[in-house]
Amino acid sequence: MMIDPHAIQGIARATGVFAVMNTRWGWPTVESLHFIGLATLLGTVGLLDLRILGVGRGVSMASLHRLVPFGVAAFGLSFLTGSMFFVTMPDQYLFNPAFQLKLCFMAIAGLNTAAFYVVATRHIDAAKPDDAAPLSAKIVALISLLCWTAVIVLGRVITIFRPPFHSCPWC
Amino acid sequence: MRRLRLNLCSMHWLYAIQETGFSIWVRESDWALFAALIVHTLSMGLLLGTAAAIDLRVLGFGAPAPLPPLAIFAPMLHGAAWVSVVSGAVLVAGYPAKAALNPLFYIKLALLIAALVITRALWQRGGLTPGGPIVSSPVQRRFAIGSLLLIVLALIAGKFLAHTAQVLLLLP
Repeated sequence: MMIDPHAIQGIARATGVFAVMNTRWGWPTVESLHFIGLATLLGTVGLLDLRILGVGRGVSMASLHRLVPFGVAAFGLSFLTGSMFFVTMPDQYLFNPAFQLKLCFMAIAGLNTAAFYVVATRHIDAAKPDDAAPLSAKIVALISLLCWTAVIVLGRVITIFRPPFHSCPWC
Repeated sequence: MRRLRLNLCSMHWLYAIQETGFSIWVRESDWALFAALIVHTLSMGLLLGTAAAIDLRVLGFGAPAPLPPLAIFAPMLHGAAWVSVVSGAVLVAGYPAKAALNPLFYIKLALLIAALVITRALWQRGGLTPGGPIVSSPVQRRFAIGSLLLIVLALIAGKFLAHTAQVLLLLP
């Protein structure tokens, strides 16, 4: 199935997003909000991941787990603002390998979060401040940290593959 | 007249930095500028994101629970701060005039320094250390509001830098 960039941009035009993004300060303002969301996500979920991996022993994992709702809200903000970039200039993203990989890592991070709540959350919430996390939780935390780091890095790499200067090797 | 002389003098210095071997290498290398940009983004994200999350927690958002002794993470954040400074310096070295001739660059630096000073004060004097108080005091909350506001403004200033630059490189 071929996705039509013009149809996607039609959504942006119909909803007024296209007009907002093309004002003098529209794009940088949305970009700022996007990065504030990503930074908060890294600062909350990333901090819990690091603690599970053994950094900052003495801080209770349960107390860091309570910061995760901020991370979820921050992800919502980043997703919303990211969608505004996408619908405004779909041709810059649809066939961009960095963007496609970024979406893949976001999907893996999402599945990994589900795995966290299945295999690790009970141990994490019951652990004492100096306890080490079980191996299953460490694996989930490592995958989470790698995925969110990759999402941020690939977000930067998107600018390298902006069409028409580069083409997608597998599109 | 004095201002003009000052401007010409600073231009001379900026041009000299721009023509150093390191600056040329940063601009012309296939990966140096991009690697610095990625490292800068990650370290700033970790540094400011963590500080902001802790500010929100101090302000009482999230489930009620004792404030964790988050100062244990301070060395990691000091590391992220230094990585941000070094990677930021590489970015400035690549295009010195682009940064130095944009007033927003100095505003970003001032906001960042103020945010880090307030965050440090919150951690050291606000009691986010092992054995510190379990609920935030009015002083802690004031520090957290100040820190959060400055972090958001610093991030916005950083993002607007690329969109407000008037000069990329200086001509001889």
